[in-house]
Order: sequence, then C-alpha cells, then structure tokens
Amino acid sequence: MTLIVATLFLFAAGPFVLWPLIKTPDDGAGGESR
Amino acid sequence: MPVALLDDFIHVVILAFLGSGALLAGLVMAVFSALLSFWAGRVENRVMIQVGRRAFYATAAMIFIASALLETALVTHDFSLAYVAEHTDLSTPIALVAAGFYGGQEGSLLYWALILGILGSASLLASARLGPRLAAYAAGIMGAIASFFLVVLVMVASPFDVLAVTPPDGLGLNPVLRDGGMLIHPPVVLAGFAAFAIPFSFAAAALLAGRFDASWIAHTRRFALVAWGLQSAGLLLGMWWAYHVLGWGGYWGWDPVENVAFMPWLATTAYLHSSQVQERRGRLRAWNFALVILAFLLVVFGTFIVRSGIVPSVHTFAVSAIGPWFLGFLGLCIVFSIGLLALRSGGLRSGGEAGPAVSREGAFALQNLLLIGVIAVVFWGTMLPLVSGLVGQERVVGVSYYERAAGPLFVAILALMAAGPLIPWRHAGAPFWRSLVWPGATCALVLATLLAGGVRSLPALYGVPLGAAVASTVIYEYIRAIGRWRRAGGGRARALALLARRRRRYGAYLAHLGLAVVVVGLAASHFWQQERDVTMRPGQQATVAGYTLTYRGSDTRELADHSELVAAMTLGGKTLEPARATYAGLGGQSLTHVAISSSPIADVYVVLAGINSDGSASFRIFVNPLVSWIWAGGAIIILGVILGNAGSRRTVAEPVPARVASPVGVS
Repeated sequence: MTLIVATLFLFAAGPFVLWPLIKTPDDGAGGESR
Repeated sequence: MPVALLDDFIHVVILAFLGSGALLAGLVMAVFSALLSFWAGRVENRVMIQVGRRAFYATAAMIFIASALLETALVTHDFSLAYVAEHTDLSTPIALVAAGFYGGQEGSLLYWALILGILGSASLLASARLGPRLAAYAAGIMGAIASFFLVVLVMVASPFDVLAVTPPDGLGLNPVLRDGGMLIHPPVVLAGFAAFAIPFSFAAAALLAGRFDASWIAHTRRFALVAWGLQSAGLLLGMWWAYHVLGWGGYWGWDPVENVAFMPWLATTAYLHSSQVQERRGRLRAWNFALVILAFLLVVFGTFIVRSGIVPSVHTFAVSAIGPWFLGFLGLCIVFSIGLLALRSGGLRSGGEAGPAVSREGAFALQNLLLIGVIAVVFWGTMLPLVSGLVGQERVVGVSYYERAAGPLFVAILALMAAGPLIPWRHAGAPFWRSLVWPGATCALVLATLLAGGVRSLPALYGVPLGAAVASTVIYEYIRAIGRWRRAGGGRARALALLARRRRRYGAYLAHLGLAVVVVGLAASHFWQQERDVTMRPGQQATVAGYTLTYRGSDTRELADHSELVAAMTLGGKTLEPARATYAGLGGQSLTHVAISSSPIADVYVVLAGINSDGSASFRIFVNPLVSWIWAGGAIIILGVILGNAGSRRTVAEPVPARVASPVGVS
C-alpha cells in the first residue's frame, strides 16, 4: 500500500519536476520541422 | 462494528499510508535530485540542472505533506500510530500534543528534514546566479543530506508505524517536557542545527566546483546568520527552561547534550567573523571552508551523541537505536569533507597580502583560534568518559574543569570583543590606540568599583568589567555613528538610510551588546548566588540575602493531568507558590515546580523540598543576582540578528581598498 501511495505521489509531482524538459523545444524535432 | 472498523481503516489509510507513502516518495525524489544534480552539474546541462533543483523542491513538498499528516494524527489523537500513542495522551494539553511532532525521535528527524527542505529550497531559488555548476552541486549535496534523513525515516525510525491493536489512550509526554519551554526550545535548537546544512552544502559545492571566491559566502550569509540566531536563541531558551523546570537553581551544567549544542554555536560564531576576512580581504579561504565543514560535522556529531546515548546525560529521554546510522553518516561526512579539502588544497591558497597582526583581520584570526580552543576544551570534556572507558577506567570531568580550562579563553575572547570593533582593517594606527581609552576606562572603573565593594572572586573580577568594556565599545561606536549622521545632515530619514546600508555592522554591534549583557548576567548569577535550606511552620519567616519570605501554609490541587502539593509564601506584596507535581497516569512520577520572583536586580528562587508530618515545610531558597539580564541579553542578540538581516540583500561586501602608500603588508 505504501508503495502504491508513493508511486501516486511521484506521478503527481512529475509535471512540476519535468517542466524544464517539457517547455524546452526538442532540438531534433526543431530540425525536422524546417 | 462495521462503522468503527471503517473509521479505523480510513484513519490508518489516510494517515499511516499517506504519511509513509509521502516519505518514500520523498526519498526517491531526494536520491533522484542528488544523482541528477551531480551529473547535470558535471556536464553543465542547464535543463537537467533545473530538473534536479525542482526534484529537491518536490522532496521538500513530500516532507511537508508527511509533516502535516503527522501533526493531524497527533491533534486528532490517532493512537493507531505508535508514535502518537508513545508521545501523547488524552490528558496532555493540546499545544503540547501538537509539540509532540518534534518531541520524539522519529518526529524530530522529520522536523529536521522539514527545515532542511524549506531552507534548502529557499537557498536554491536564487542560486542560479552563482553559476550552473555550483548551484547544481549545492542541490546535489542537499539532496544527499535529505536522502540520509529520509532513509532513516523510511527504514529505521518511521513516525507512521501502525500498532497491531489501537490503545484507548497514549502513554503521554515525559513530565519534564510538559512545560511551555517544550513549545519553543526544541524546535528552535533543531532549526538552528538544520539551517547550518545550507552554508555547508554551498561550501562543499564551491569546493567541488573549484570556485574558491567569496560568492558562496555572500549567497549563504543570511542562512548562516539565521542559523547562528536560532542556535543562540535555542541555547538561551534551553537555559531558561532548565532554570524554570529542573529546580537546582542554575541554568547550565556542562551536560554532554548542552555541550554538543554549544560547540556548533562556537564554530558558527567563528565562521561569521572569519568569513568577513575573506569577503573584505580575500584571505582565510581554506579556513572558512574548514570552519563551515567543522560546524556541520559538529551538528551531526551532536545529533549522534544525543540520539545514541553513548555518553551519559540528563537528556535520557532522547536515546534510541539510530545512533549507528548517525555514526555512519558522520563518518561519511568526515571522509567526504576531508577528501574534498585535500583534493582542492592546491587552489585554496589565499589571495591578497599578509596583514599585520594588529588589524581587524588579525583580531578575527585570533578570536577564531580562541573559539577553536574552547571547542577543543568542550569536546574533550564531553568525550572523556567514552575515551577513558575504552582505554581503562571511565573518568568524568566536572564543572570546575570547564571553568578552569575554558575560563581564560573566554576572558581573552571578551577582551578581543572590547577592542576588536575599534580596530580598522589592514592596519591599526594611532587613532585606534586612542579609541581604546573608552573600553579601557570603563573596564578599570568597574573593576575598581567591584574591588571597593569587597568582591574577591577572580572570575567575577574578569567577567563583569570586561562585559562592561564590550558594552562601552558598542556604545562608543553608536555615538560615533550618530555624530557622522548628524554631520552628514539630511535628518532622520538619511540617518535611517545610513543605518540600513550599514545594517550588518550595527546589527553585529547590537549582538555584541546583547552578549555583554548575557556575560554580566552569567558572571553575577554564578559567582554571587546565595543558597539556604530552611524548614518553616506556617507564619514563620526566613531571610536570604536580604529577602524575607513568610510561609503561609500548604494546599493540594487537582489538575487535568496531575495533582499538585502547593506551599504558599509571601515575599513583600507577592505570593510565591512552589509545588511538587505528581503524575498518577505516569506511574506516580513526581516533579518540582519552582516559584521565582524575578526583578532586574535578582531572582528569588524557591524549591519545595517537602511538607513534613508536623505541618512544617522544607524549602531550598536561592537568590540569583542579575539572572534576568541573561534573558534580556538574549533578546538584544536576536534583535541584532534581525537588524543585520533586515532589508534587501547585498550580494558582495565592499572589499577594503588597498592603500597605495601603506607602509606594511607589501610582499
């Protein structure tokens, strides 16, 4: 049960922690779009 | 009862599983933050550095959630949690139940982690301007420290362990801890300790990143000052609590737990002074790194001593099995820190020329050495039982050891405090020697007055005049500042603007003044304390040091969690009620309740020894001169810290310009 709750917490924190990666445009994708 | 079962289930699920889940998630996040930050800092990947920093913020959030859940469990009396059942009961007042959060082992570790999370996050917020690598390494080190605390909280000492059977009531708090002091002393002391993890993390990060300039000092100055302020307040609050609760008439007993809280304060005091030398003169670089590391190691060492119970102490309620974990952590920190210093020793050579001995920087260096000397005295006094026990018969030192060994060092430190603020940076010329007249004259005047008054106690003859000299130096500096402000014109607004610009200096002077007041209070109450044991029938009087007390009679009172045997006395127009409390719910544990009549001149401190079968009552009466000065001095110190910290931050202190025509220090 603790493991499930911990996973849920980590899942919920994901967008906040990973935001710098989400907002930074991917170099590869940028190249393809040209 | 299905409803009751459901209720229990909801409680256990919500509090225990959410709490332990938050701690586990916090641990994963902290380890992730540490590893990612170190890697991203090394390759200078700015996006990943941000992710690592955010992971630390998320760790702090998880710790905060766990703390909020534990507090909820405490105030709702959820005895399904072992921690709640062991540290509170239904009869304990609710404020003390809430204080149970840091009252036990597991909770105090969670509190430590919470302070680290909050202050660590605050320190990381504006850290990017230090450069990506240093900021990333700092996040990594804080993540690593948080990981250690969370490992212990998840694996060894979880506050969310559930009992197999929920008891109807808890065991309650130790009677000594059932006091207003419990609400403020432990959280302040622990926060002071945890706060010093911030300067340590940035110092170690600067070493790792090879950045030996003073930017890490400027960035963490405020945290170091807050840590010092909290440690000072924590020590004084501990003394106040011991004085009001323990009933032996004193406030400091050189107990191991007091000592291990005192040592980080000494190291932090040294660092606050030596760091200025690096900021102003570019010197003492390696020394500053070493001092910050020493202060943090002493914090970890102190936690180990308190939690392991390896050295006998009055704080026995704190002993537990996590000692080996802290010993391991201490070992890791020592190896890491010494390794780091050794690795970077080549680049740590200070810039700038060597200054003359009689200069501000020389005074700071000497003060640092004296403080290290005091740390050594306290350290070996604390460790002697352990070390001597390992090699043969266990030996213990008493109060006189500390007074004889540390006393002369304190006298020298006080003398430096009196002269130091008057010494200019770089070189002391004739104006400095002339300015020494003020503290010198004050010292001589007070000394002559004491001698004329018949005082022959040598420590008092050193302590009180030097305390007065320190105060006179501070007052002299303030008078000089007011004179400058007047000459500059512009009225009160300009004077306040100047005060704000120099707030560090004038805040520090205020702290010096507070310490001088504390020293005078300590010296007077220690060396002129009077004590008398008396037995009186109702209506009889006793006189101690000119104070006459009349015993009126005794009474028994029943309170929520204990009963009290109260003896009423009158002192002038005041009624004093010393008592003995008995806690029936805690196996009949008994505790003395001291009655104190406090004034700026002296405290009359009455302890009820017992009521005799013939109706008479036995008391121990102390008259403690100037004790209230200690608490007043503490308040002045805290005011100084607040003044020094108030307003907007200034990143780098003004370096002292080199004088072209300086006759000294040319290398």
